[in-house]
Amino acid sequence: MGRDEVLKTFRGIVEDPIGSIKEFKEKDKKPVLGYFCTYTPEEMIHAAGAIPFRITGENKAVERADGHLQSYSCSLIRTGLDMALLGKLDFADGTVFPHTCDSIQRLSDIWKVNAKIPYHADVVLPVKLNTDTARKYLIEELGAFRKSLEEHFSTTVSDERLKESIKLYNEMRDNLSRLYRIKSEAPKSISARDVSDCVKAAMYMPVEGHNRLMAELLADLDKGAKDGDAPRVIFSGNLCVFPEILDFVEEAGAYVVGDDMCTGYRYFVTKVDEKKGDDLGPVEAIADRIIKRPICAAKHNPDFDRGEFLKSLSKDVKAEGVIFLFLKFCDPHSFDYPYLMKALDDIDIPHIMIEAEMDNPALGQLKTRIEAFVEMIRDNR
Amino acid sequence: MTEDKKIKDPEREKRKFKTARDMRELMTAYYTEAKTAEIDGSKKIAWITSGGPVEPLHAMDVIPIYPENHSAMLGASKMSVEICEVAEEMGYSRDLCSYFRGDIGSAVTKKSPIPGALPKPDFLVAANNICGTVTKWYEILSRFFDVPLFLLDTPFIHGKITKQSSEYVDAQMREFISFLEVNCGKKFDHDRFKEVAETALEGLYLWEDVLATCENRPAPMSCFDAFFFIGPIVTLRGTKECNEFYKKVLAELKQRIEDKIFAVPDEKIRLLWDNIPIWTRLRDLSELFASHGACLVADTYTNAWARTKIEGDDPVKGLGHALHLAYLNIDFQQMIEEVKGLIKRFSADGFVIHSNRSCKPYSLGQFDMARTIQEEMDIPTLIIEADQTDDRVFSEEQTKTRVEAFIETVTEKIKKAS
Repeated sequence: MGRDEVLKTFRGIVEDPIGSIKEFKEKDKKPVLGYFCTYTPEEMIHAAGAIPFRITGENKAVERADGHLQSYSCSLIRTGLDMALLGKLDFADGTVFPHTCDSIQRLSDIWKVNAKIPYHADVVLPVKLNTDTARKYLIEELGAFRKSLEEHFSTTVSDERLKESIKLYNEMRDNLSRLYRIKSEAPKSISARDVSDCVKAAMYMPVEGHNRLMAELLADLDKGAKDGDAPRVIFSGNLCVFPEILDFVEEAGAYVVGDDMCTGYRYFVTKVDEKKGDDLGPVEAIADRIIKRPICAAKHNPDFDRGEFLKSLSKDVKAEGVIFLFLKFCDPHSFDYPYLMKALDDIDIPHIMIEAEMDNPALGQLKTRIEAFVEMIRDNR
Repeated sequence: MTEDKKIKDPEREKRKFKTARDMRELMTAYYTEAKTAEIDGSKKIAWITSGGPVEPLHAMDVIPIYPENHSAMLGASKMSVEICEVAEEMGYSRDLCSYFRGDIGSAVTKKSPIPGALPKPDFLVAANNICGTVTKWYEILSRFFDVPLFLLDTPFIHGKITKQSSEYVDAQMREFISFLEVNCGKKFDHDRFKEVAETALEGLYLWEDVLATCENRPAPMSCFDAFFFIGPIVTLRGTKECNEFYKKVLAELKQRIEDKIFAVPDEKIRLLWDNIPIWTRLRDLSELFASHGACLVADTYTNAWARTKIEGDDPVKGLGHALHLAYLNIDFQQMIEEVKGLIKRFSADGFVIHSNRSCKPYSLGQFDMARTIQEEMDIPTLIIEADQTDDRVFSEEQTKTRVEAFIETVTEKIKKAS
């Protein structure tokens, strides 16, 4: 497959994640497990012979979830629950809830009672990530999840199988990291929306297929497609649920050259240390990846400063502007926002903040704001 | 003011709590001591979350300060909106917890019912057994005051408590002791701590007894009184003063039952309250319910301090375990069981649920909870959409209408039953 065909395949998957994952399930004859948060150890699910897929809600008005969740909860959990209540996830064999935030935690309670999905796993990851005791607990909790998968799916998640899965997921992470590097160095080579599709597709399809397609794509990108003059922008926040926003930036004549989002960079940037897996065991290696990856705002790690991280990321990709993109009612990210804003002010990088609600897009207004922002970056020069 | 307005309603005067004065004196003394310590450095000051391990602080002569309690005061004194707006100007979303917004707003502006606002902390202690919000809140405080933070991470309990999470909490309790030793510059006195833990335990039993007086029909106080009296069990738990105070309150409540002084004299309806109070509207709501002969005889909020006790031979471990089991740290199936228990114990005829925008771990799941209670116990439920201290989201008219309709439903049901 050439570049265009690969991208078309990814686009198709991203535009219909549920239809796609259903097809993969039938084709591969494997159970499929949904999850909300990217702290989910996908390798373990894979090693248990299942396909993990991320539930990212839907961009539409909620029909039934309002009877279970207040209007002040984020649209990810409201539309996600709605999908389950409407039977759209009936094909799923299970759902996995790593501890993320207060909302996901209570969603798990509500889900357990109301969604008709056979397997329900809570992986209560530590919030604190900087201590030895937290690391020990994390390893044990991952071990408990491994056992739970083994029991439910009557299988053995052996160290060998885990290591094989780790290799495959690391390959996916490598591919996406390479793609991000190309996008940052030669922003004209591929659109931001296509880059986003590549990342999201990894969440909605078997990793083996994704690796194959990515290899073909990477071989067929024009790595010299530079554009020295256009403003460079990055995103920071949680989920990019409206890919149109990426188009708005690039249609306005700027390039998206990176991000700190969990539908983007945070999902794939850190690999599992395979050598460590050989020496200490794969579960410890997976735990270390969870500890080392750039943190989500819902985690506590005094050794990782999200402000410093955003500054160094901005410098690395030579960003001239940052768009904060949050789902409305996301507490952890809203708490970090003033601090991150100040970090950018310190290095004179302009920024704007967009709060999105999946059931209420209001995209027209966003387009205007983004155009004005790009214009402002240009004027700043 | 005209003369006749000064004449006090004798019925109302009779129902006023005599121990309310003791409470004010106790809290004033506490804040005065803390403000003095801030100036002369005689004692260390720690800011701590309401579910945090306070007993070890008392054992180390550290004065614990509760921003949550202070934010509730901002609400009760109607200062909260103005101060929350300061936080919003700093970039904090209006959707964030109003306790947090009040706290950071007050720290910046020094606006508070306490002159000069809360005394500055020497260090911070947060336990995420009540929410993930406090994790972020205290990270922000740690940067703002440039002081160390200890986070007690209490993994959420789905079903049964797991061995690994229990060991993790226990290990952190030991880390906490070391943290205190470093930040106080002295060894931890385990004997002293044992005494404090015993005093705290006695305090918790007293608090439980205080709340239990409302099992009496009619109830000698309502949850609005309990909301007032909760201060010391949160902030002064582990001190002799706290226990002396609750002994007095308990005696007064028992005397009231004997003297037939009741919270709602013509108590016809008994209700259970869920969630943190709407601090800005305590009086309005209390009067609204009372005007219909309805008394809120118990609540899940003040009861949260009467659920888990420090048990076993090792008080450090026992305290960690008790904090791990906090009401907001268990899944809502277990919460529903506790609510059912309260409804039975206090013979409640209805369930009033405050859907609190500020508190997701307390509020998400309430719709399912309401349905379960209604269906399994045939208990009418009312959901009030509001906020603990952000009065801008309170709708007076709508609340009144809904409360009245609810009272009608409950009354009908009681009539039918009798």
